[in-house]
Amino acid sequence: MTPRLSRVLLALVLERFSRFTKYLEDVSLICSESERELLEFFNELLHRVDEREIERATRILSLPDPAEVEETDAINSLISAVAEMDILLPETEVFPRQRPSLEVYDFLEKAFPEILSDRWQVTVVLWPVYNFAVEPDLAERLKEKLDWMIERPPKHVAVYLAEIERDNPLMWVFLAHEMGHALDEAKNIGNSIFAPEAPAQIEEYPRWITELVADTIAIRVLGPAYFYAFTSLTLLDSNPTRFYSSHPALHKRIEMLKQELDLMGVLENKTKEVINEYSQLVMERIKDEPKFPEDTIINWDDAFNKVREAVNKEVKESHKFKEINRKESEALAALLGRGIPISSFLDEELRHSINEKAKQLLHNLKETTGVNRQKQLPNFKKQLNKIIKDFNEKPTHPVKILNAGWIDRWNELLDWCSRAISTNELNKWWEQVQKGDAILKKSMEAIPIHEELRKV
Amino acid sequence: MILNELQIIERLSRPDETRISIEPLINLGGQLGPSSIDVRLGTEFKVIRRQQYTHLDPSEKEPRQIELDVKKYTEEVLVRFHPQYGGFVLHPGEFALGSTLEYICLPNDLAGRLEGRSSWSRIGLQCHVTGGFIDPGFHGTITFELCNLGTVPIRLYVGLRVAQIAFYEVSESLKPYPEKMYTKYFGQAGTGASRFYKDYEFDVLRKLCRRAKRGGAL
Repeated sequence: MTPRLSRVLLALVLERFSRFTKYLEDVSLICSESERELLEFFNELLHRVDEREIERATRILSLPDPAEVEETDAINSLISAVAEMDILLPETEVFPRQRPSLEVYDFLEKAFPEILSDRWQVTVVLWPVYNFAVEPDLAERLKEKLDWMIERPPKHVAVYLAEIERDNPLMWVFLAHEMGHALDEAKNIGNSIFAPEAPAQIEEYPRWITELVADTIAIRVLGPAYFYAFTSLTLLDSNPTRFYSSHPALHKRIEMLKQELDLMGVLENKTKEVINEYSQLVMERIKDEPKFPEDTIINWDDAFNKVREAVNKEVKESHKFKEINRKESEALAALLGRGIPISSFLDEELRHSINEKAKQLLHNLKETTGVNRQKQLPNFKKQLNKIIKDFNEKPTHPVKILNAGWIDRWNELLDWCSRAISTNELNKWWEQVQKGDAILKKSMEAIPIHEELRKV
Repeated sequence: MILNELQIIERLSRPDETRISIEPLINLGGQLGPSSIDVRLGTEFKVIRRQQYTHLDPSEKEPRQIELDVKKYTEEVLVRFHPQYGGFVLHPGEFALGSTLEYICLPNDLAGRLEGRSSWSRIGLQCHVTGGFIDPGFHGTITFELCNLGTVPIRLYVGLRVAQIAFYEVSESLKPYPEKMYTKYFGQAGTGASRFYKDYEFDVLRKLCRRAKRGGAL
């Protein structure tokens, strides 16, 4: 394991644990007295796991030679601790649920504008399991059981968000995958393509195809942000190449997503660089993992192509991710890097020219005196009004924010990894992550307000 | 010196770290005054649940515990931008925390002062309770200490321009806000509750209290 991969994994594990701790802390604020003892119990369990992990992290960080990391196998044991946490999480179901952040709705409305205006109602449900899921149409399901229901109720979609990711907009991208499932079901995308050609020896194949459909829709709408999120999740999986009955193997899905990004062909250099870095990390992570025969029985390229064609028919051009231009993309990531929200944007060249004009006008005002000044005042006012008119910030878009957010998080991660880290820095990483979450949410919060007020 | 409108624009458009950042700046023309810029109401409000509160005394507990207590006794009200969500109603005599929609970054050579807008003051809305000074180098949302001093309830909507900020030029601070020994609100991106319990004087008071409980000399 290279030092870079080990450090990245360590940072991701620490982040996951810190999120769990924060989740328990948040729950403690809303749970009743009768639930308090149980909460204490969970806190203690987590504390024990946490202490053990900090000890392991300390050991890794104190190694003089990064090559020793592999020998100690400490990183793998860290990852297995995440699996232990995943066992604890469902048991917290007894605690009261929190409310999702309002920004998550802003994100969904903006990412799926046409769908959501077409009699679809989406509810985001927080749930304890570290998983994302969808109830594609509650009304339809009830209609089967209650025949007196109205003929054409609105489509009620419930998407489930892992509660510990409540405040992490970077992980909300998985809701796009779940929305993809709802769209697949409504438009019958998956069913229309695979049934006759399904390899008979793998009964899971049809289910896998629907997952690929949802993945394709998500990446079409969100672009690289979905890829980054997916690879981060894969990195933390204790067995990323294992056989799933419900989903194709993670590495196969990543292969398809990468192909899809290449086909979209609109990516800027910095984005490409980050995509390649994530891909390399995943490849390194899975290179020694056992692969299953299903990987070779299925003609995956053929499956990917069929899914792509089917999705092309249904996902309208207007829905698709459009790479923001390089200057804007770099400017947004740079602002996030300085800890500034990015709900709006003003081109830096335009800003520069406004600054020049403002400076010139200030100079002219200072230099012009007496009668001449009185004469020139209307002209000065006109110039001021022109400058104000030019200073026209435009609202950004949640998809742009998430893409810039992932690049910024990657830069921070590299920075964190490249420094000589001591255990004292572990908390600093978590503080940095929390601040990043807050800035991303703040960026999304102002967009609908900005858009509405611009219309005036 | 207080910056005038043109100086404010010049600062907003600077390319370097001496820029004033106001994010988002939705409508400069509609927000810019002769020597100030209007700021809007954000989406998050905080009110204290008095029913469970006896008093706040940071000398009795550790800061972390006080922080959790404050969180527990604080009700968070989130409001979206649309009349259908009802806004936030501030009743006469009631106190609540809110924040600017804008995230503001001041350079090291500018201080800011938050002031109410006359139109709102005339119906009794106070937007800060003496805590309106913004240090050079501050980054974050500005917290409104909202109080309705009038006699009728006021319904507040997200995005309303309830206050304004004036900017003062100062000689460049060598110890701007982020470098102060104890910064409590740097980088806040929402309505931040008070962290008065983090003042170092309380460390001393806590030590003295503990000593007194053990029967030591004061």
